[in-house]
Amino acid sequence: METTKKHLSIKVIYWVTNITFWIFVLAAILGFILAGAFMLKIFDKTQLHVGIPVAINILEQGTLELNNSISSVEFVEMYGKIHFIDTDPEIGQVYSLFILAILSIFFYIFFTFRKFINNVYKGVYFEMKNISLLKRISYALVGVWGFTVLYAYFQYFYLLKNVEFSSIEITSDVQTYPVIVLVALFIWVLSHIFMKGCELQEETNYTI
Amino acid sequence: MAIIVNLDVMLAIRKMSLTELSNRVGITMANLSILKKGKAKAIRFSTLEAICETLDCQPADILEYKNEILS
Repeated sequence: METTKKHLSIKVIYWVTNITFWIFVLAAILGFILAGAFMLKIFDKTQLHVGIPVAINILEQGTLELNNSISSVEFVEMYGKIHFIDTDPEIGQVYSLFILAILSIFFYIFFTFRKFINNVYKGVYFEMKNISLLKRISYALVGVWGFTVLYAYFQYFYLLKNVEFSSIEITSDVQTYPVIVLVALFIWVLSHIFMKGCELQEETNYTI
Repeated sequence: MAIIVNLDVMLAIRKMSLTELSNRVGITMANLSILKKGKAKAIRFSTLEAICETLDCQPADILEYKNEILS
């Protein structure tokens, strides 16, 4: 194979991707163990700590002192996390299913992206296998988006509808993460650009 | 493909092997093989010129157009 001088940026992306991938693998193994333990109700002392993709308003008013004047203010449309003080094992099992599913999808995306970056590092750019990898990433991202929206609505109806606090108000502003779809669309368009590049590459290869 | 490469015919007429042509023209055997088998998508003028010079022939002796719809 013809060896070409690799750009520094490609080397950096290659190493960052590979190091991040292996860190993710370790974290994913830990996540799988934790989720499995929740499923089997092994860790009865472990508490859930989940992000809430729904905006909340804090009804309590506070004061803001600025330019020698005091204004009454309140926090609105906030996003945060719920920490369970005593996690019900049934809820733990439901969430562990979500953890397992999201870890699996992210592992697939990371694994595919790493393969793509490794091909680029080897100097393999405009080839059908790269186009296929990019398409797979974009489809998986759409899957992530669908799953995330499902998770957000699940949180809203399953958890937050039943939360009661005297000073907070749960809104119906559920996050839908459209940026994930935009990224998926961008990668899908990129795969088509690569397809054109593949055609040009073939034409160049067969020009004598 | 409608364009037929008659390189093997010209090589036979000139009693020259593909390896000899490759050495004299300066094109790799792999590329000459692609050309001979009709798999090439394009041919550079410089390549055509070198082949014609080596085989002492005209481009039309190497390339031929055949209407695939009529044939």
